[in-house]
Amino acid sequence: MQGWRQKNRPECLEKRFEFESYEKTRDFLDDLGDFCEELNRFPDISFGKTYANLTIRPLENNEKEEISKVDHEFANKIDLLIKQ
Amino acid sequence: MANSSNRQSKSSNKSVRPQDKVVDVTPLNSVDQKKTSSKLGSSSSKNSSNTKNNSVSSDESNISGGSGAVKSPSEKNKSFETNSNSGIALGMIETRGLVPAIEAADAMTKAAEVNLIAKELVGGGYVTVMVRGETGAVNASVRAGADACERVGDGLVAAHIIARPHVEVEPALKGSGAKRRS
Repeated sequence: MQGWRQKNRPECLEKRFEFESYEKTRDFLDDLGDFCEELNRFPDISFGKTYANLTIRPLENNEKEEISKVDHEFANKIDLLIKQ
Repeated sequence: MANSSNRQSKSSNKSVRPQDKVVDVTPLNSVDQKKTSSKLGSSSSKNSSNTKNNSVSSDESNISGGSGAVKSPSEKNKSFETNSNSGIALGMIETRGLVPAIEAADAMTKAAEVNLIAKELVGGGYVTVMVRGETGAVNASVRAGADACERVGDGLVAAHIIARPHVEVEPALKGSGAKRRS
């Protein structure tokens, strides 16, 4: 889970992905979209031509509203998308 | 295409000067826009009468949300008001120039079931279009919109998807009413 930063206010995990071209950004976003649809979980996504910033917030049903192990696993799986 | 004859008649009207041809690009929910157009005088009154006669006007056709159904202007405003808070997620695309913004809006509404809720003129040529809908739909539509406007000139500046915007953000999602200079 390299490159992910955990923030406290509000609790979230953030990572910036950089790409060489818009096409590569788009491919990543497509993979991410499919993956999120599978899990039915969606991070906040901010992207431009050669970057994508992802923000993972705690699940809605998480009472403490804190980043949990589930969120870290979700981040790990997103990292794997880039390596494919 | 349906009102092409209408456009011709407008251009042939000599009372309409070029500087009077202001394109109304105010927020999509601006209901009282036609009422308060004092400077535009005869040209704007002609436009509004044309709008009444033709159910599809040039700027209103942008906010149909891809439904394809032809409605009267009042019905469209009503539908916008009811749809403005519908859906959970918020998707935004900022572009450099109006053309890519419209291209993005078109692609977004065609790609997935989302509502186009605002088109904001940020200034300096930047335009932002916003959609709301189910999270998956917004995700897909913003990707499609970014893809479309990226191909148009230097279009894409940034795109953003908020899966669950806080309720306090809702008032900020209404357009400011900024107008493009003629």
